[in-house]
Amino acid sequence: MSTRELTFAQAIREALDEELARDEKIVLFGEDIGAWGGVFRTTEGLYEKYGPERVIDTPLSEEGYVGMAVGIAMTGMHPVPEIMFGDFITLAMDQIVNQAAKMRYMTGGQVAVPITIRATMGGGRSSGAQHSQSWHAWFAHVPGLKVVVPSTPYDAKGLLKSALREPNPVLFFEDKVMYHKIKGPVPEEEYLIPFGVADIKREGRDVTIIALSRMVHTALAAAEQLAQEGISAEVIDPRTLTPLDEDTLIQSVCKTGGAVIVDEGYQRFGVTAELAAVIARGAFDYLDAPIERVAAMDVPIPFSPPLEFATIPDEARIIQAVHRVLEGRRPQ
Amino acid sequence: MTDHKTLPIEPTLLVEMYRRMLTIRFFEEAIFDVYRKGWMPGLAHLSDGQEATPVGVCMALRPDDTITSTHRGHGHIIAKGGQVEPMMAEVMGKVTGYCRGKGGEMHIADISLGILGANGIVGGGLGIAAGSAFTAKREGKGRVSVAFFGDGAVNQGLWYETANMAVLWKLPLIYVCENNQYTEFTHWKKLTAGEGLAARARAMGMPGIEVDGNDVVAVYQAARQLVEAARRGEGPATLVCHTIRYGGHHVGDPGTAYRTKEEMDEWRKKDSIQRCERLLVESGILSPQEIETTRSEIEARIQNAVQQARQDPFPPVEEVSEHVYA
Amino acid sequence: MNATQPNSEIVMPRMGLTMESGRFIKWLKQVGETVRSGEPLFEIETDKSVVEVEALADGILSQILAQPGETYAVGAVLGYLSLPGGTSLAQAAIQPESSTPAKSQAQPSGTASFATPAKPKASPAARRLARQLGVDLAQVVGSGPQGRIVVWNVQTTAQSLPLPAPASTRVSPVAQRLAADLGVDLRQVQGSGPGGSITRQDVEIAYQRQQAKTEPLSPPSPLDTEGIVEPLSPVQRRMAERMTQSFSNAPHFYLQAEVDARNLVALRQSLLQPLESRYGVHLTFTDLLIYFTARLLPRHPLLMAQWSEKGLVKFTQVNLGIAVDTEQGLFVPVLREADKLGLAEISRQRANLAERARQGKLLPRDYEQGVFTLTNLGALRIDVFQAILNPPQAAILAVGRIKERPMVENQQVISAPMFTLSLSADHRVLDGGKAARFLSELVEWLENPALSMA
Repeated sequence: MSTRELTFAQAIREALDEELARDEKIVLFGEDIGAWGGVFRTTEGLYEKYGPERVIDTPLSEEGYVGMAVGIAMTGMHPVPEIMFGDFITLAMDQIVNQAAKMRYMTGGQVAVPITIRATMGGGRSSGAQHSQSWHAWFAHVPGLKVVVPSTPYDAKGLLKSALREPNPVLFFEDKVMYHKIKGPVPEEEYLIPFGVADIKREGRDVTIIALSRMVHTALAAAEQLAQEGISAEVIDPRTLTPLDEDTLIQSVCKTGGAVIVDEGYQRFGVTAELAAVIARGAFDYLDAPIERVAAMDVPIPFSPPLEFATIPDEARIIQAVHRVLEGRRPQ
Repeated sequence: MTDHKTLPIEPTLLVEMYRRMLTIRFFEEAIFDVYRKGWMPGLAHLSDGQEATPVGVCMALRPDDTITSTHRGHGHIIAKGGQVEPMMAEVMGKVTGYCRGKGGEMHIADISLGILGANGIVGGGLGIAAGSAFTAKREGKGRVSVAFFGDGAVNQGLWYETANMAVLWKLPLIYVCENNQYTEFTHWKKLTAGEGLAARARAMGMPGIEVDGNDVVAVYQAARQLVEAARRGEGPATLVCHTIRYGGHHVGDPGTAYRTKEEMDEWRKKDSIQRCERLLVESGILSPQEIETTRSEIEARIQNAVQQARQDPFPPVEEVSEHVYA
Repeated sequence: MNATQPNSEIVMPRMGLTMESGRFIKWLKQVGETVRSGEPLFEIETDKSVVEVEALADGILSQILAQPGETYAVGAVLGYLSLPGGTSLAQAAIQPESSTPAKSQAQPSGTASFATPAKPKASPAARRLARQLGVDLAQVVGSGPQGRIVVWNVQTTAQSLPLPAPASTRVSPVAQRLAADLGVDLRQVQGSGPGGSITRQDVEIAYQRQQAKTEPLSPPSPLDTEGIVEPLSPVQRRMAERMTQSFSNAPHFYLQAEVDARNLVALRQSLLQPLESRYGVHLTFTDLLIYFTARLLPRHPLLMAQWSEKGLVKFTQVNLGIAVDTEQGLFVPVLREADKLGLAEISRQRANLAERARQGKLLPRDYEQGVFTLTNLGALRIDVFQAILNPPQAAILAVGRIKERPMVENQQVISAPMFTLSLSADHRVLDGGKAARFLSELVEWLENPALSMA
């Protein structure tokens, strides 16, 4: 199987391209995704290739075009509305939460809603409080939705292709910084990655680090540093929040005895809270230390770089958390 | 008032419209009774008084045309061909209901009839209707999408966002505003700036027509005109139907705190069913006995539906986690 | 000098003029226990001997800091006693980590400030391990944050725990200290001192063996001077542990007797065919031995008793264990109430258990609750052997092979089939006389089977 190096954005673009070719029911919506090729270049060239019928530039109407996408999905097509900055998803909340998520259930199973909403996440670019947030936790909290958070080009392509074949509403979160900064091998042959399967990105014995999206790379860098101290860290990427691969997380913590959970969403009532609860219950008798959480500080994201970086999890904070987990314990 | 001598529509069509309006009226009255007897849970939002608008519009539609409805949607559903038995069962939360008891009074749907759901969010169906219009255009078979909404939704942002895209992309979408004068407990004129929705629709680049919402023939003619235009690809349009709801916002609200008796008496003089009956009799399409028979027959059917629904089982608890995902 | 000050610190006492430090052995009370003034609270070892140190005040042992095996200077704080009516200094001294801005995230860390509970703080994994290993958490000193006990603390304590041994088996303090230092499990150590007590040399030997086991496998050299280490299977490990425990704890003595097997052989011969055709079983000598032994034991009940620190535990149900040799190792399945079984049934059950043992299909109830064991190596040409007791049983009968041997009868030398029985017995339960009476009566029955009917 031959692979080539693609950036995160290129892998996403390739997934869209292949699926647009495969299924004529797939239509992309978004602001400046067509003629402009997308502000993050994730739809570059697709407008030229598939035309304005398949790649549609929408007015600035998040509620409008996401709501319209719900109706499009209910009447037999597979729309893919894009939310340019994940922060804007709040404008479409009713359509996602009250309409898309519930239509199948409320109609007693009469209809399916195959809609894939692509939204961005992540800060670190001095974009300010309203352009840097990561809202994947909100949607994992809504029954009827599926939430996907890829961390590598390989994962992004495989998971997006699966999303575009999924008959249910999917929220697909893409980290902005990773688009052009993260590269990775992607096979040329077709492959799909199923939802609900976590990926062990690095095996280890002494502590389990669970991380999502860009934080996976931060965690891997931290693990490298920890290895030099003789600490062997296992890094696990859940890849999808709903459905969640609880077993892999729990088994790992039963093995290592300690967990550090890293996420770029806010800490309070966020992803780290849910994963910590899952592990506390599933690995209770094997915990040798309290579970540590490293997430975005519970403040609006500041503009000024030193302030902004103080709020986002980084290697140093992950390493400190690992040290707390291992305090007074022997590595095995 | 339409000249009964020059009947603008087919007699059979008129009779059907009459039957459907009666069905709606009796259904709503039955729900009122059912609710007050405690035979259904939740809330009930009734549309008696508004029958002519949904019936007039839906009689201009094909079976494959779609509609979206509101929280006050029983009329739209019956007008589009919904059957009273599964509707009554759904209202009582029984497994034999249209949605297996999972939707309830505000969320009845029958996808096979093109009813894309009543909606508990004001304006909640507007996006879905626009999406259906988008798909209809893509299919290229002349299918049309109708969005029913009330005077309250007129001020929801979603209307303007979808209307903008509908005009931009020439979607076969017909907005039908049932202005029953009151947005919950407040008169619409106190909440809506300018001249109302028809004017706003025109400002956005689509036809905006107002019509007597209690004249089923007038509604039908206006709707037919706009629907046919949309079928031909001429884009969206807005129809504002002025009508009244006899009941309060929901059962339990008598509707008297914010409406006067005089006002309501005036409206009852323009009752849509009475006008239709007069037209039928005066045109010789139905005799008074046939009117009577029709009424009794529909009434009986609805009463049977009530009894049947009361006996039907609730959905088994095991079903609670079904139908979340496809 | 007082060992416990009224202000509730428990310190290393000065027990002699020249004493500067002492080695802490163990706590005699658990955290949370009430302590009366004058009660022994902990043990230390000075240059001279192991000494008990009393509490000098009433109170509750609220925190222990001293770890078994560690040396502390005179006056060093070993723990805290909380005095009635007030909070101890220990509670005041322990502050949860406060969140400072310099900390990683300047977020409230979430640890509330409340007084330390009396229960030892231990992680869930440490608690689980302590339950499994039978370690008392009060004996464990925690190295985790705020003194939390973590897994490796429990592991360390388990390794250095003194033998749960009866009073007659002793471990010298020096040996105990060395075992703790070297990480040697005293339960694995064979005692060579008087009465089976464990000496320093024994610990050193055990340590060498342990080291040898954990060294990495080296590829076999042509001369193969090093040998190849093969990891133990669970069965092997269990056998080693139990046999070591048995051999070191129970003082064994051995009685031997030769049996004239002529009548036994004839008996078997006569029963062989009928049992086969009527019951479908193949009668063996072991079956006959089981039969007679099982019926004799109720007449010598002490052979079924077991030693415990509290006293002799007496059993009446004749659950007889039969040693079975299999590829996976030695198993001892048990025939329950063997004295009530007919010969055919004995034969059938013995064969069934042996087969299941060979297939590795024995269930715990197949080998639990035995009170006496029979082991027969006659099939493997062994004439005589002394078996190690199957703990916690007090007696085991080893049977050798039946062989034609010369014997003297009526002052004439004749040839007769004979075999040797060896009875090993626990001298804590049985003395020579009692064991001998059993064995001699058994021999009588075997030589004259009809006597067993009397």
